[in-house]
This record gives sequence, C-alpha cells and structure tokens, in this order.
Amino acid sequence: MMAAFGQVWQIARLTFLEAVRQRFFNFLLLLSLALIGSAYFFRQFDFGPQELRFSADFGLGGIMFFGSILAVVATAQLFFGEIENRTALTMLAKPVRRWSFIAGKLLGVSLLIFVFVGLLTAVLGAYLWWRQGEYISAWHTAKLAGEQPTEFPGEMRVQFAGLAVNALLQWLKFSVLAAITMLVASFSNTNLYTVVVSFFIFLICQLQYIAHDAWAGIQSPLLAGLAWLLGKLFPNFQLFAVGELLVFPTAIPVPAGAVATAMGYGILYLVGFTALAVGSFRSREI
Amino acid sequence: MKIDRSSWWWRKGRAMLAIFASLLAAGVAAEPLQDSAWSEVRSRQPELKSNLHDLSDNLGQGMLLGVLGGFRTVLADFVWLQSYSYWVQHDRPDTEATIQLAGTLEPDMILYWDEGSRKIAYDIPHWRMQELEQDQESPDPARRAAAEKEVQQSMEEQAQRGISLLDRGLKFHPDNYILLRDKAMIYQDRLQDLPDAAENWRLAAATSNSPFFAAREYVELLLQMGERREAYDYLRQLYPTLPPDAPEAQKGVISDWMRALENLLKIPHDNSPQFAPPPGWKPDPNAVYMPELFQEIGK
Repeated sequence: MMAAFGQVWQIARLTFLEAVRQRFFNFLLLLSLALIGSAYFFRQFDFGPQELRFSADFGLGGIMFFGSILAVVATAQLFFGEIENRTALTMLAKPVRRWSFIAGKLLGVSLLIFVFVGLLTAVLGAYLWWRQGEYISAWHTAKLAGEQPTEFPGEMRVQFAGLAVNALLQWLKFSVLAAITMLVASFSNTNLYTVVVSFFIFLICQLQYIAHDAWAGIQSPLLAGLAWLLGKLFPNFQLFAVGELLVFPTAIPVPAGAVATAMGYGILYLVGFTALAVGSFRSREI
Repeated sequence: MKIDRSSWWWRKGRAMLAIFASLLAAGVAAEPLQDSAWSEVRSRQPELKSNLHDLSDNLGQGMLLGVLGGFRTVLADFVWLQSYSYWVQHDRPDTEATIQLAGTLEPDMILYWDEGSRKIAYDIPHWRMQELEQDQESPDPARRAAAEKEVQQSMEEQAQRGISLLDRGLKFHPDNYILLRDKAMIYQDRLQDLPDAAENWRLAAATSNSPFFAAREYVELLLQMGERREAYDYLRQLYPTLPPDAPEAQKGVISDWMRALENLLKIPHDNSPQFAPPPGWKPDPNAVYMPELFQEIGK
C-alpha cells in the first residue's frame, strides 16, 4: 500500500513539474497577475477606502475566472498528453495501478492549482495590505488635524485571515472541477471534447443553486423532478462563495461552521469524483 | 443491433448508469451539508430574482449568465467603471442606469450608493444647466424664465432620484452614516426640505461611526425651524456623551449653546456636574456657529 502511495506521489510530482513548465500555465499566471496589478489604476478614480473592496472583488473575480480555466484545461492537457505520447502505456505496463495514475495526476493538478491560487491571493493580499496601510495613515493624519473624529472604519478593513480561508475554499472548488474534468477525460477520446464538456459542467455547477432554490416552488411535477435531479447530480459551486464573505467584516459574522461545512462538502465531492474517474478509467482501453 | 453483455452499448450504458447513480447518491448524502452552508451564503446575497428581466435588458444574456454564475461582484466593478465613462460623456440615461445596475449587483458596496446618489442629484442637473446656459442668459425674459423653470425642475427631479437610490442602499445598510448623511444633504441643499433633512441628520448622528458634527447639523436645522425646546432636549442628551478632550467634539461650544438656549427658553441653568463646561473652557463671545441664536440673546 505504501508503495502505491509512493507511486501516487511520484506521478503527482512529475505532473506538477511538467505543468509548471507549460507555457499555458505561465501565460495564465502572468495574465492573472497583470489583472490584479491593474487594480493599481483604480486609484485614479478616487474611491476612498471603498477602493479596497473594489480591488478585492476585482482580484477575487480574476482568480475565479482564470482558476477555473486552469483547472479544466491543465487537467485535460496533462491527461491527454500522457495518452497521446503513449507514456501512459509505458507507465501502466509497469506495476503502476490505474488508480495510482489517476490519483497522482489529480494530486499534481491540485498542487498546481494550489500554487496558482496561493500566489495570486498572496499578491492580492500584499496589494490590499499596502493600500489599506495608506488609507489608515491618511485617516490618522486627518484625525490629528481634527477633520476625522473616528478610527478607520472597521467594516472597511480587509480580513487577511478570511482572504486565506477564501483561497483554501477556491482551491478546493478548483480541485473538484479538476476531478470532474478527469472523470470526463477518463471516458472521452479527445482533449477538446473534454474541455468543452467540463466547462459546461462547470457552468451547471455554478448555476445549480437556481435548480436547488427553485424546485420546491415549481408546480409541474415533471419540471420539479427535473430541477430536483439537477440539484442532486451536480455539486453547488456557489457554496464556496462563503469564503468571499470572510474578506470584509459583515454585520452578522459568518459562522465557522458554514466554512467547515463548505470544506466538508468540497472534500466529499473531491473524493467522489476521483473515485468515479478511477472507476471509469479502469475500463478504458488505452 | 444486438445488445449483449460484451457489446459497447452495454458496457458504456452500465458505466454511465453507475456514474449517474453515484452522483445521485453523493447529492443526497451531501444535501444536509449543502443546505446548512447554502442558507448562510444565500441569506447574504442580493435577491436578483425580482429584477432578472431588468438585469437581462441592461446586461445582455451573456453577462447575466456571468452574474448568476458567480461573477456578480466583479461584473459590478465593470459596470461601475462603465458608468464613469458615461458620466464623463454627460450621458444622463446611461449614467443613471449603470449606477442603478451596479447597486443591484453589489449592494454591499457603499460607494455605489454614496457616489452614485451624488452624481444623480448634483452632477446631472449641472449638465442640464450647462445645456440651457444660453437660454438662461437670453435677453428674452420668457425664454429665460422657461430655462430657469426647467433647471429648477431638473434639480428637484434629480434630487428625488438620488434619494430613491439612497433609500435602496439603506435597505441593505439601514445604519450607515454615509448614506444617511448624503440623504440629509440632498434634502437640505437641493430640496430645501428642512424637516426631512433634520430627521436624516438625527439618524446619521445616531450611527456608531458618526462624526460629531452630524449632531450639530441636526441641532442647527432644529433651530432654523424654530424647534428650540427640541434642540435643547437633544443637546442635554448629547452633552454627557461628548469626550472633553476631543477638539472635534466641540464640547465647549455645545455648552455655550445649551446656556444660550436656557436663556432663550427661560429655563434655569442646570449646574449639575454632568452639564458643567469642559475644564478650561472660556465661552467665545464671537462664536459664529449659531449667529441667529447668539444675536437673539444679545451677544
């Protein structure tokens, strides 16, 4: 068993190294960093301390957008790279189990996503830290001059721990998306098909909440059944938005239980989709 | 086509059915987790259902999908930036529409309500004024009067629109000082509606992060409306809460106002310690804060 886990780790390590050398990953990373960096130009709009929330929304939106592209495209590319180059055949001819191959690939992609989300969150956090520091300092200067009687408003302060928790939740969401992509790849024949289908599934998962919210209110039993089925077949990706609520203080604090529940939900689906991808890949002819 | 256990259809069909059944089982198993965390997220998201049609018209189908698909806040950022470009071009309908839309998409952002209401209530009437500049300077009195009337009408309409936007924002942030202050200022400066302005200054002064001057604005308006007794009672409540060492609280000035009002209303001076002037305070005979008040008592 330990040998199998060793194999998983080796495959994950190689997958990660291969992925970080890919132009696609580096291009996406640079693009995302440029997007976060462009928040600097919001200063000219003179938003005041609200600029912090504006920049945070902008940066988090960028991480979500590019992260989902990375999770789908990198997973499909790395999987079909092994199939098309026939390295999968060589690898599986050795005493490497199919589940180790899938689990290793997914772990490698998950590490890649972790680095991507972690790096972008760190850059966003550093930017917000700098801007917040400037606003607090300006606020105190105004206070000393008698122009500003109160402390820098608490509701405008960035909660950096919340930003980190949000990054963790986003990473988990993208890992589930990578596992979904791996499941699609395990039975499809082309990279393009996998990418397109996975994006559609991603869209359904993002919109699943509409079915989840609507089914109880639908009159037609057929439509209600369909909405119920949709709500059960696909995970609700908007659940991970609980992390975004942690970045700035809210009137009613988000309970820690909600974050833990979202994490548990993500882990459940991550394990579930990985198991399905393994099951499907076992019957695949290579 | 024969379907037996070795056929492609049988194998693929069985695999698909297994995936389907597993996902369904996972969905049912995860439901309690989903329900508890989802209620937290949902309760803090704006209700977009009622105005989906408007959103679809303003954003287009693609963007609407983005909004529903979790890109709501970042799209609100883009809509706000778009409103800037309309504002620069003095495009009234699109400026207003994008401001309203940004607020709908991201009601947590105070900026959209605060700055949006100011653009609607103060900037747009000025654009109209600029458009009618020639008419306002016309030698023809009828043309001049018509232009004046239109400018006045535009000011009132836009002020009401600005207040409506702030009211929408206040539904999400009922105790927000900035929004209440903006509302008070529009009532005061644009509509000359002193009772409503005073009421909003009072509410603004009662918020937790209110600057001290909000309470003074309220009192000044009460005095302008002749509500001296109400002003005095409010000052008596306010005075003990003011810190003696914060110059911006102007505790000494408030002490002078209370004395002046006691004289005006023929109320005996209250010499209890909680109403004593701050240490070292010397009443300013040239106080300019309340000229009408001080004139009346002969200072």
